[in-house]
Amino acid sequence: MKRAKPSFGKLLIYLMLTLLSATIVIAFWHLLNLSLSPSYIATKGGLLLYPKDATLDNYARVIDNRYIWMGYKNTLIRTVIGTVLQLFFTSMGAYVLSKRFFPHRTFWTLFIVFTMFFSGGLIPSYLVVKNLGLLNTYASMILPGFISAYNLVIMRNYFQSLPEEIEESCLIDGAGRLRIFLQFVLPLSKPILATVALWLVVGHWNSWFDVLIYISDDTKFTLQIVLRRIIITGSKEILDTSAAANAAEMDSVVSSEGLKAACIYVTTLPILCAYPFVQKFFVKGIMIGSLKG
Amino acid sequence: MKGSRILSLVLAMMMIVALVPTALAEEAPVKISVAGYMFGPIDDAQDVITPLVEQQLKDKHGINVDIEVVYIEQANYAEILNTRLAGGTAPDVFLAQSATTLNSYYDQGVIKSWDESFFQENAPDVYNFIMNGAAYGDLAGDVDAWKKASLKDGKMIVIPSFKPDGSMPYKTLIYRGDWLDKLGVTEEALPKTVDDFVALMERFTKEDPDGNGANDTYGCSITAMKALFGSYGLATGFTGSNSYWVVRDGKVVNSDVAPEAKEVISILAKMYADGLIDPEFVAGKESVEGSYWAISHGMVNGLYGASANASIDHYRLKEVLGDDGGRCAQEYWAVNGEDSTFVYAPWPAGPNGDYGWQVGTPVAVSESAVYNANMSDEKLALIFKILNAFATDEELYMTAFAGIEGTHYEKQENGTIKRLLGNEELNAVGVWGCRSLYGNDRAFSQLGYDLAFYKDPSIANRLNWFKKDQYNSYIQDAVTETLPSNELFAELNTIRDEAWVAMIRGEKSLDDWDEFVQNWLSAGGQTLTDEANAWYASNN
Repeated sequence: MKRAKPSFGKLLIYLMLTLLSATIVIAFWHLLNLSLSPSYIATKGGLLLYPKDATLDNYARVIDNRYIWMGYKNTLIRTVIGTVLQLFFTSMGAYVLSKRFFPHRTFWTLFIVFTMFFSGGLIPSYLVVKNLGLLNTYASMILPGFISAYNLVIMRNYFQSLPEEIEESCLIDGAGRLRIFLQFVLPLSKPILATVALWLVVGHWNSWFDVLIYISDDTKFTLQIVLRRIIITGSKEILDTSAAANAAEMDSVVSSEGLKAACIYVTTLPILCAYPFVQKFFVKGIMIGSLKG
Repeated sequence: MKGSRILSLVLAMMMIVALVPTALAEEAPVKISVAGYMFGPIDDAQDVITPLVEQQLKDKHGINVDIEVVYIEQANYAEILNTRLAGGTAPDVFLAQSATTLNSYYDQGVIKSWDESFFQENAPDVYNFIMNGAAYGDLAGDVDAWKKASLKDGKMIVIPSFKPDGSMPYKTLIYRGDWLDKLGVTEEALPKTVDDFVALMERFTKEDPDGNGANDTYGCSITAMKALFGSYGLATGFTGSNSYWVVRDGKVVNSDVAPEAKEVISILAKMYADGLIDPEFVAGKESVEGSYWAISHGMVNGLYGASANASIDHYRLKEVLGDDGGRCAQEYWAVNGEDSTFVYAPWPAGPNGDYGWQVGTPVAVSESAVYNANMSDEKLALIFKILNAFATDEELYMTAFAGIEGTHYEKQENGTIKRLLGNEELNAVGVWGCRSLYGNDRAFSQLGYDLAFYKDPSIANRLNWFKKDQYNSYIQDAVTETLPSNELFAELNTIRDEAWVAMIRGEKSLDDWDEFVQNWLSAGGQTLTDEANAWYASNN
């Protein structure tokens, strides 16, 4: 049987998607080649289609740093523990808010949404963390931003879309609320859990400013801090005006684009690798919040 | 009786118990937390230096302290420090990093102040060293400036650094040696006036100095062009993001709108019209992104004959340190051959005999330690005693500054040291950790100054060259503090660069100079000039 030829509209869509993917892939490919090139190639500029004079120097420079593995370890601790805890508590809060019979539900929802619009700023946040005795602990990386109002609202909307009949039948069979939550609601919510989990993971993986101000113990520095220091130390430039520079700084090298590219890959590669496994959850997850009831 | 024996025993025990805490209290070390300029954090597990320093202070000087080295990332230093100051967790000793910050800390009451006599009493050797003009009395003429920089409302708030290389020029005019040879220009014939300089640029352009038969050379690069501003007594930030001030008739004027600047631009415009300047002089065949900033690619690759992008140290010859030479020298030899030469040249002097490049002063507060206001006077006295100990005890200083001999550094014959580990590694094991306690990375002692400056062959090399006629520089920025409306400079510098480039290229005529000045003033220049004059009047 002859297969129907795809319509012109479909062809156009395929073409546009291909072009879009190509631009993204080319960007990543160029960056990979840049990270494998020595610095004089990087200065020439232009798009690199293959690594000329391929060298692992940039990666060596990143990996040789004494703090890099500690950074990975701390970032992993923070990401795993943070994400699991945050996901669990956010979903509990969202479940509660999604129940229509919850007393003063509107008030509590508004109360939480209100916090999305204001923030105290840097110094008050620091004072809060300090007065709670959380300075220099892993808790300071996880607790301050523990429940994101945005994630909470999105999860609440999803839970609202689940049919009530299932829960009622569970109640009739004698299940308690907690059991319903853990054994029925959560397994049905895989799409939204995966979505929020991904946002949390990326957030934890990329965050550096909170570590910068709260952590002073060098054994707790995360990956982003270490990489940031590699790039900054490598790119100290002496301004025209400074009359006398520290002798050690005088010889520092302007960080090549290759080093920066290597740092980007060292950071992004784990996430890039993990993403395909999580992807199957997203087909349904994207639709949340757009359906009513 | 048994009862009274027990009672007296209990009373005796109580007395002993009461005494013990006071006895222990006398033994407890004073905690001092120190933040300074560091390349990387200190690794508490591997820190060998801080315990050594504490040990030496206790055994040799009777100072019992527990030093905690606090690491604050340099890139976000101000932000992190401010949050800690607000939260009350700031260290006892930290850096101010600029005169403006220093003043703002003082105004907010977060740093301590003390009398000059208090300083003299607790750190007498340091005080005398500074008052006598530092090592070799070299800076005797700057002692008043030092005092002035340290005082605020009659009390000292900081111990400024006193660096002899602060007033050394950081750039030097350099010519390609092969072109000079080809044109038969000897060292005595190097141009010393602006006219001679322009004439040499003409020869570089028109007389085919690289001998390849093609008309593909230009006189000089943009940095060498900027040297001509010095010939008229101005420092310039042309094509850059800086702006300088000069004093004319007792008032402060920005050098971009000074009448002498017009003269310089007219000279450059004539050079351009004669074809002596590369049409792409702004696009920068000097520093190229991604490679070392000091290398002048145009000069190294034979396009220009002169450049002032770097210092004598960057073009250091191999004999000076017995190594491969300065960074730029290495690049030059790599491109032009191992036997190729370059020549350090005198600055061309203008009609009033001015010459040079902008330099700083030997006094600076940007690396100086300040002390937390919540510290007691006794603690501050102790810190000054520690400062004094570092100045008088060579072994102590070497431990904190260099580490353990053989492991972290080696002594060289010329009297300096060679470090055996990278900067981050040294910080991790504790070297430089107490930096803010011994005075801005060089103790106020002969040894500190020798190691950092006088015995360092590369610096001595520069000093020798600067003794030659017209090689040194004296042009100073008249305003050394960031002005309140500093952000206006961004637009003003754009106006300056666009107008000047147009005038040099001949796209605009020099008659439009006054229009340019008006533009400059109305875009914020007048505001800044008024602020600068107010500052100058209050500080002089």
